[in-house]
Formats: sequence, C-alpha cells, structure tokens
Amino acid sequence: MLTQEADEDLMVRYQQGEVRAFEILLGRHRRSVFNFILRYVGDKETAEDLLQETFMRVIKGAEAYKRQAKFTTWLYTIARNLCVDQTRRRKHRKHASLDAPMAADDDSGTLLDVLPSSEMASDRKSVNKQLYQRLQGAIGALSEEQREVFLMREFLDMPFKQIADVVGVPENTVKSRMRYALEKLRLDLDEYKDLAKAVP
Amino acid sequence: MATDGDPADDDDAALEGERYQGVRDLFRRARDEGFDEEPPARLDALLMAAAREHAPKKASFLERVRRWLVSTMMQPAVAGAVAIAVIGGTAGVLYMKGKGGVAEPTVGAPSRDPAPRPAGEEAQPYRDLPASGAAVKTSNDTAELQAALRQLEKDQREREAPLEPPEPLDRPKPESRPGGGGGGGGGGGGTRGAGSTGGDSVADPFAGTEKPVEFEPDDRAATTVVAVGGVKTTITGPNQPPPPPPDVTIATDDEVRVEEEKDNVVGAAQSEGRSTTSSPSKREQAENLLRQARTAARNKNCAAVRTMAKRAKQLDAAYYNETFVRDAAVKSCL
Repeated sequence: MLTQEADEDLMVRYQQGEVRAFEILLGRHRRSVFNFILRYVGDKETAEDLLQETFMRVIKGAEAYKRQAKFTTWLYTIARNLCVDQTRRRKHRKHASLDAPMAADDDSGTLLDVLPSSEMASDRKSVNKQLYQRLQGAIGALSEEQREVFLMREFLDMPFKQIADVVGVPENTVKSRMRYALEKLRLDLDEYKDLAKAVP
Repeated sequence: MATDGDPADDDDAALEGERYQGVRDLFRRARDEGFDEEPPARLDALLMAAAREHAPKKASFLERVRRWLVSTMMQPAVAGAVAIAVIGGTAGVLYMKGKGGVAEPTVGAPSRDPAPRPAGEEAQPYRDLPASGAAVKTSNDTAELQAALRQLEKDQREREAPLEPPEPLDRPKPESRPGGGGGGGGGGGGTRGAGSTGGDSVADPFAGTEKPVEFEPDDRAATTVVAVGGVKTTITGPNQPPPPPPDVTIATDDEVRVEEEKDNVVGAAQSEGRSTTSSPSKREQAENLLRQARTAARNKNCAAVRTMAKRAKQLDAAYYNETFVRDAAVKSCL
C-alpha cells in the first residue's frame, strides 16, 4: 500500500510520475508544516502563501530529489528558509506587528506584553483564545534562532540532529538555543502553568 | 540575552527535565485543543493540480530498465565484473572460432584462369568450363564455337557452290523491285529457293546455304545479309566501303528462340514444300555438329554440347533424334 510507504519511497514514486504518491505526502505533512510556518511568521495569510510555496518547490524540485536525502529534512529546510526570508522582509517594514519584538534586543518583549490584560474569560473558549494569543505572543518574543529551533523540536518533533542539519549549525548549538528558548517561555508563561495543569 | 555556544552541560536530559516540563505541557495541551490550525482545503486542491501538471512523465519499461542498469553499473564492483565477463566472452568466442579453422591462415588457391593468351594465338577448343550453364555465353567460348562453325560454313559453302541452281527466270531483279512489292510469297514448289524472293530477309528452310538477299529500295542496296542457319553474314556491295569481318555468331538460347519463331512464321507459308527428309547439307552440318559435340563432351564442356544439340535439332530433327542424342559421349551431357 502506498500509504504505508516511507516518505522517500513516495517521493521516488512521484518522480516516476505517480501523482498519488505526492497526494499522500501532502496529506502527511501539510498540517505540521503549516503550523510551523504559522507560528514562525505569526500571520495566517502569510502562512498559507508560504505553505503553498513550500510544496510548490517540492513539486518543481522533485526531479532533482535524491533517494539518499531524508524527505522531511528537505521539506523543512525549504519551509524554514522561506520563513527566514519572510521575516527578513518584514523587518524592513515601517510598522511592527503585535507579536514582534519591540526592539532589536530579544528581551525587550512584545506589544502584546504591554497591552492591558483583560479579565480571565469565564468560559473555556475564551480562556483558550486568550491562552493561544499568549502562547503565540511568547513564541513571537523569541529570537529567530530560538524560535525556529523550538518550533522544529516541539511542533515538528524533529530530533536535534536533524534540526542541526536544517539550520546548519552544530547539534550542541541547537540544544543551547532550545534551552534558552524554553527558559524564556517558562518565564513568559509562568502565570499559565496552573491553567495548563487544570485543563483536562 | 541568550547566547549560543559552549553549552557543555546541554544534554537531552536537561532539556527534557522537569524544569521545562510545565512549558511543554502547556504547548502540548494547547495544540491538542485547537492551537494547531488546519490549512485551508483550497491549498490542497491547488497543490494537487500543480503536482499533476508538473509530474514527471511516467517512465516506460525501457526507461526503468535503463535507469536500473545505469544505477547498477555505477557501482565499481558490478562494472568490473561485467567488463571481465564481456572480455572473457569475446575471447572465448574468438578462441572457439579459431579452433574451427576460421581464424587459421589460408593460402590462396591458384587461379583457374589461364594467363592471358598472346594475341593471335588460336583458342583451345572446349576449354574446361565451370559447371554453370550460363558460362557457355562467355565471350571466349562463343568465340571458339564461332571459329569452329565458321570453318564448317566455309567448307559447306565451298562444297555446295557448284550445285547452286540458276536463278529462276521469274525472279525479280533487284532494280525492278521498288516499294518491296512483287514476288509474292509463296509458292516455290520443289524448286530450291523459289520462295526466297517473296520477302525480305527470309531464309529458305530448304536451302541451307542459299543466301536470301535483302534488297534496298534504291539502287544503292549494297548490303546483303546472308543467313545460314544461325550464322549471319553481311555482304557489302562494290560501291560500299569494305565490310567488317563477317558477323558470324552462334545463336544464344534467346536468339535460337527468336529464330524458331521466325521459322514458324515463315514455315506457315512454306510448309507445303517441306519434305519429311532433310537436305543432305543440313544432315552434314548436323553430323559435323555431332563430331564437335562429341569432342566437347569428352572435354566435359556440356554447355557447348547442349548448344550444339539445339542447333543440330534445328538443322535436322530426324538425325538429331536418331543419332545425335543417342551418341554415348553426347548423351552424358544432355
């Protein structure tokens, strides 16, 4: 069955003209890649564009794909590079986004941090919405290097070695960045730690 | 400020430890409950359309085999083994061929063609010929046969010259024959040559040595074609340049066939006068041919024998059937 084949085998099949193989690959990775991009750039519309662009590059680069390369490494490298390019372009814009750091200093916090926090919503939906905004704000407050490592590790479940391959730094550097990212998030989200435990 | 580098104490245990477990749990629960979003379905449709459009063409069986061969041959061990197998196979084939004698040096057999003869040297009659019947038509053999028959004709002409009957009185003079009329064709009864005046170039089958004359419409008719059996001789008049050597040819199979057809046409007009017995001169010719055929048969020149047999049959069918074909030497060739 095609659905049980490895990503690399499916990619080879697509190289040989089997469109169905690509369909399975898309179904496997579309959601994780989309959320990686979404949390990286913080904007849904941009995330959709970048997701489309990521898979378009896979399609166009299919003929050059080598069986020896791990498919997810190749796929996430494309997605990450697009996110980095997008973030650099956005830095040149005049206005800052709400979840972007206010200063070059990564520790300066975001606009969300200084907005007056509303009362905790009573209903669960409101609580979740508020939590999600806070989580997105905390992710956005991370430096770019920490953010990409954290997202790959937590959202894409990638091992450190593979993250190191995608980012292009030593594995220890990846772990260091991960540690700093977690430390920062722990501090930022400290007020929600009880909420996390309370939610079933 | 976070800095990278030298985290010697960074290991998975520290990162996965209880210190950061709360943050991890918070994100995991959030993701489970809806923090993760679903990409829009329209993107899937767009991407699938693009995938179909850009999908590489499905490789044919041959293409897949080629790819497999290329990828296999890229491995040095496989390539080396194949090279050894090819070289070994080729050497084996060559060795086996050599064993069978194909590769052994051969000494060229001496040519059977004799050295060119000096000009003027008499051709040896009935040289050995290849078994092929077509070889009888080669120029050398034809020339030999021509020479033999030329001599035969000459002898015959000399022998029969005194017996030439006087021209019949009613024979039209060449000068009085404008437009090719007169004469009529026919008749002739038992008078030798009586029918020969009726038409152009018609040989009288009863007069083997008679020369039917082809008259030209005008007085300059100076060229005469004399046909004796299969031998044609051109005679040129006094006011013409000297003629080329007599055109004496031995009729080939095709020519014989054409002559037979001619004879059939003429014979229809002359059949009344044809006696069942042949003239003595034809009999002599046939006898001569038998002698020559016998010699040729002894020399294994069966092709020439067959040609002479045909001629003899034309000249004297009775003699041919009674004597010619029954000759022991000739019989072996027919």
